[in-house]
Amino acid sequence: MSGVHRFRAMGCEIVLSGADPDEVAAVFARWEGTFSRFLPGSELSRVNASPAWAVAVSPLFARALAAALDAARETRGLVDPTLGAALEAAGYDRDFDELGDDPAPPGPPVASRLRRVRLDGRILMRPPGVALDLNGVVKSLAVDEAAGLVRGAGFVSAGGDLAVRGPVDVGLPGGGTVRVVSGGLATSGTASRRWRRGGEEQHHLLDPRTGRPAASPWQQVTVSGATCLAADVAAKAAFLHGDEGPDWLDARGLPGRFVDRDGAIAVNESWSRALTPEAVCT
Amino acid sequence: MLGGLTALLFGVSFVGARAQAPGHTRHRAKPLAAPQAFELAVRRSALAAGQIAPPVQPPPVVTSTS
Repeated sequence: MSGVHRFRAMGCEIVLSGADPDEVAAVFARWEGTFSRFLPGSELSRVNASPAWAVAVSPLFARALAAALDAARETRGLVDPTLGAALEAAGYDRDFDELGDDPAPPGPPVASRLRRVRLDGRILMRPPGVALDLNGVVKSLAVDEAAGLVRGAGFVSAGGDLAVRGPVDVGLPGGGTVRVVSGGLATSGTASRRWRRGGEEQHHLLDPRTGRPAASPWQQVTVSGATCLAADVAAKAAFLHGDEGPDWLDARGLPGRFVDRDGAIAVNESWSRALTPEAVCT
Repeated sequence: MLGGLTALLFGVSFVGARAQAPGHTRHRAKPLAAPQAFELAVRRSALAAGQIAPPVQPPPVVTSTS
């Protein structure tokens, strides 16, 4: 595919084709400027620091929070936007590029505050001190919005989470390729965002039941969704479901591919069915 | 006799039409709204699958954790 452009945003590489790179860069800059946990002036930082119980948020913030709360509902709380403090306790308190190993132990686990968060239009209600982290949905929402700028065929990818307009062949973790015909494809796991605190390995996929980095048999989970957001949320949930991940995806008709800690690859029934030649629609 | 039967038939039909027939409702019309179950089903479709297929050419992009 010709006309592939690359740049960095949101701490990862953005790759796109079929759209104006400047327009796409503006989309990512807007989302990053609003939702970065590490920019003191971002709306997310200001909301998290606010001592008020009710805060009026921007339309973009409300849209992302509504998506995050929907994701939490659909995953029965597994993909949780209220674990910002737990993430900081695990040591993820600065931009990942600046994160190093630290002999100090991680902080105590921080419980989910999901039940205390309400969104009514653009009014957010939650107890002061609840640290929201919307990065579970923000990157994929930005990808979906940027994919709307594609004219004709093309795609937008942020760190490998992508949305397509027209068929695109995509390389997979551990080797192999799949053709994404429509929608999005996202991979979640612990292959890259890892660090150590007090000699213990930490990562960014937290289990809301423990407030700690999740223990999962999977290293990377790749899911095909109708949008990048759907794929990303489902990939995170499947990772957090552990051994039940493949069946959880199958129950929703979502194709999933799993790389375990030893590098072995497994796919669920929906993935196998989708790649059976006779099942392919042209 | 015939007049009485006609009047009775008219009265029964009139009352039945007001009570049963569409357009003759005795109650105030309610605005149409999707049933809650339907709205729930639409909301759940946010986790719908995309479409994938066997590859046909080298990939210009790779998915991985970031």
